[in-house]
Amino acid sequence: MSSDVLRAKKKYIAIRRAERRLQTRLDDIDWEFDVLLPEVEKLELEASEKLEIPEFTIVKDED
Amino acid sequence: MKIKVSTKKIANKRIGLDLEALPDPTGTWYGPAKHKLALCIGYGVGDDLHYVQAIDRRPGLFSARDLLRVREAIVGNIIVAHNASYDIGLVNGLLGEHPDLGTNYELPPMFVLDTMGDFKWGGAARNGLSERCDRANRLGWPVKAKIGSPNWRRIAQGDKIEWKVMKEYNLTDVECALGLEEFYRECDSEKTIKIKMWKP
Repeated sequence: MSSDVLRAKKKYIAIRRAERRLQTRLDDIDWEFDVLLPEVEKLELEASEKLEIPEFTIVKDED
Repeated sequence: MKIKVSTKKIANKRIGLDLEALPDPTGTWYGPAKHKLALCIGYGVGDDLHYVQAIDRRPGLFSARDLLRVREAIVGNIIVAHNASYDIGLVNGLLGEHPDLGTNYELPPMFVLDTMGDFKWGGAARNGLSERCDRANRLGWPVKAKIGSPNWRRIAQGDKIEWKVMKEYNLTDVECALGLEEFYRECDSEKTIKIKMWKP
């Protein structure tokens, strides 16, 4: 009996996690199309116009 | 943690390039040895246009000095050309197989702005070079378009007069590529050409 509860609990957790991952992935796809890709497009066009590209460096906070 | 953004210059200036080659007798448009049929190279920008041609008007045979001049002019700049990878590939072939130069002078990866690379097919109608030039001119951007073509058979025979026609044809195309690129970049209603990378 207790193993049946454990099995059901694990399946429930798996389904809920999968739902959450799916929702996050779907939201990510919307964000990529609506926000990220236009930004990348802008970067590419600016590179064509100005003949320069951005460089990104990670810097540590000064505490 | 923060992300610092700075800018990096990727080229000094735009430079037009056009290489003419004889049609390949095997019928392929761009075979591996197409550079052996290369006739002339036009390059430059604005009033600073240059032209080099095959020694004694023999396809594929260029002086090392001329090729190095072309190389010096284009490396470090961004190439503007119709079907740019075709022209750069052929210049690279000429450099790489020149008996006096060897592989040391092959081209590095280069940035290109290809005036024919993107949005080649516009809807149902063919969006070829002349259609693009027509459009630019209709919208008030004067783009010098290619008019006519040399007689390729006479060119192959080394006809001096026809080679003069070739020079004008070639340099007009360099100006055309530069004009078209400027049109796409500056005209608000047009789509800017994206930078691409050519690799050997």
